[in-house]
Amino acid sequence: MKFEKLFEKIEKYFSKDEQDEKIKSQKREKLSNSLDEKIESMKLKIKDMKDEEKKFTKKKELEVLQKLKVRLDEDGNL
Amino acid sequence: MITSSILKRSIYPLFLLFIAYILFLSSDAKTIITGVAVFLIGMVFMEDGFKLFSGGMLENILKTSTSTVPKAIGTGFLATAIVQSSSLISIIIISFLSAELITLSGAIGVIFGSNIGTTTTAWIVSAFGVKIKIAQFAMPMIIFGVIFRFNKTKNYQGLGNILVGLGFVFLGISFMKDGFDALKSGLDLAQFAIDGYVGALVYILIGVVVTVVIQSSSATMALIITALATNQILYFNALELAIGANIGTTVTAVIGSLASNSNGKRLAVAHFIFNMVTGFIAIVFLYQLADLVIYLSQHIGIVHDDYAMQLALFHTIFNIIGVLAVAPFTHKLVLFLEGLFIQEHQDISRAKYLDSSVIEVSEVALLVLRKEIIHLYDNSTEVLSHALSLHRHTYIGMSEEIEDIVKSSVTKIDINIDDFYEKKIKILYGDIIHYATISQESMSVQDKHKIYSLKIACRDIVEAIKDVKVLQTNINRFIKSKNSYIREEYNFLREDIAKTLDGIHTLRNSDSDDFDILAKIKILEHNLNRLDMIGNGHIDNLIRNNLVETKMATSLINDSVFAYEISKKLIHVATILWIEDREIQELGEV
Repeated sequence: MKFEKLFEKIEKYFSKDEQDEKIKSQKREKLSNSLDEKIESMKLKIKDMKDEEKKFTKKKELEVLQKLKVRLDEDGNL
Repeated sequence: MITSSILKRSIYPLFLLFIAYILFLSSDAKTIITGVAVFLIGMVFMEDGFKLFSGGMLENILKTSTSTVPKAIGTGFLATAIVQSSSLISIIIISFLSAELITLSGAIGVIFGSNIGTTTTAWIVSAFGVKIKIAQFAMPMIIFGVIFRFNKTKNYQGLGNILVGLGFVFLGISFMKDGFDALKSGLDLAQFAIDGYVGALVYILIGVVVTVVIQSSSATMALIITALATNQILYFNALELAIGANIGTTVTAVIGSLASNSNGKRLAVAHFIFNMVTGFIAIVFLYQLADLVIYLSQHIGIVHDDYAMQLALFHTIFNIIGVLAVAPFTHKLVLFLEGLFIQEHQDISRAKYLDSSVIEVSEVALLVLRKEIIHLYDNSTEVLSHALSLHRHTYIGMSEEIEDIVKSSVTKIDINIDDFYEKKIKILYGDIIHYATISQESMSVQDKHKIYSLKIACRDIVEAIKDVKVLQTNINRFIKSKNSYIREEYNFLREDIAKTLDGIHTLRNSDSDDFDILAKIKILEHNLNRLDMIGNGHIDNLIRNNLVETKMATSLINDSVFAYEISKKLIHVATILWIEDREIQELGEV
């Protein structure tokens, strides 16, 4: 019985799906963090912008990234 | 031509017979030749290992650190000293040069540095190879290397190959040493030593021939050092052989460059000139250099009778002197080589960057493929624009309103899309797909995914051209229509595709990161909704108010779908080509 559990644990440890899922979630977290950083830096950039047209374009881009961030965090879909 | 072919075909069997005869004649020679063979196999394994292990890092360093000649020399030196393969560095540099990622002067600088870097092999052989029982280290290296090779991780496989390679290199040196030791009891090669400049020329020639035959100056150096360490050759003759090995290695490069493009030829000739000048200096100042070696040896702790180490020092010194002598003239050398090999007139229908010599270096193969697909994309923008009765230079990257340009461009551009496709797209498309398919054979799963995406990008470009062909007929029909409504509608379709092409031009030329590009792409994608003419009630309005005939309306519905598809495919191509990070690319596809 003990051996069976041990083998199960070993199998789980070396399981490819498990590993893949772990790597995937790490990647997702990393991507989400860098997207966060990007959004924050964009906000600061927009604040300093004087050209209204450029500001408007940048705001639209910011909106796009914010939506993607929400979707990434909600769905976790990559 | 026929004579040279017959000569080539007869030399090879004669060479094999000669080797077989030597193997039969002397068991000691057999051991030495086995050593050379095992050493060469080791170098191949090491080269493969570094390709896998570096995972693109090596290529990135070489790509970004060649802006000035001194920087390029340093990069070439370090890269070669670490990977122990000047041929791998040469392959990567030639491909970067062909792909116009680095300048010719930068590439020449790397080759200069690589010549100094490759002398580290002589230091390794003389410091470890001939002093300790190196075969003892070789065995565990090979065993652990093979175990690592079975690992699924790319880095471990690379490390495994490096260990196996190093093990074989050590084993090869051990064989060579044993062979020369045993040979000494029967035959003393040192008795054939020749003094003076005649001797110098004879030994230089032997060095050249041996290097040309075994295709590796490192292997020749290992052979020379082990022969010297076992007193089978005299010190001065070993110095002359080393000069010959240096020259011999460029002969191989020049022969290899004959089939390459003008950049490959320029670099090979630069390498040849460098090594000839270096060789000339070394021959003329042979005795002075030997004195310098003795002087420096005393200061860096090399004992006076350690000729193997002194030879390694000589090898490094004369290559450094060569760099010091030639590097200041790099600019003049570049001008001379550019005049000597004029860039072939580029046929835009043929591949510009796909170099078969780099097909096995995954990172570089991916890089040149991407460049070539950008070339295909650029060719396609011409046909796409003409089909819309627009000229690229009037609207792409221009500050004028595209809407106005479209309205004022009503002259039909006579272009046969089938003909254009056959002449300027199909061959290039075929070249890319062929190259991609061959290159992916030796790639990791991740890189195969990248190849798949690149193939999809190619297919999308070609599909967009096919779609625009359908659109072209009605555009030509309606842009001069008396019915201003249908004219406006078709101008709207033209404008939309033109805006997509211009938008892609802006994003690819902006100094943006992947997230910025993704945001811009998403906005372009969002704008496509305007083309859903049924969904937004546009068509209903035109029909209900009798503004267009029903036939026109149905044509418009169909053509708006084609326009939508064209823009969508082009945007997808932009996602693959200009967003480098795969995760960010995939985020855009969610």
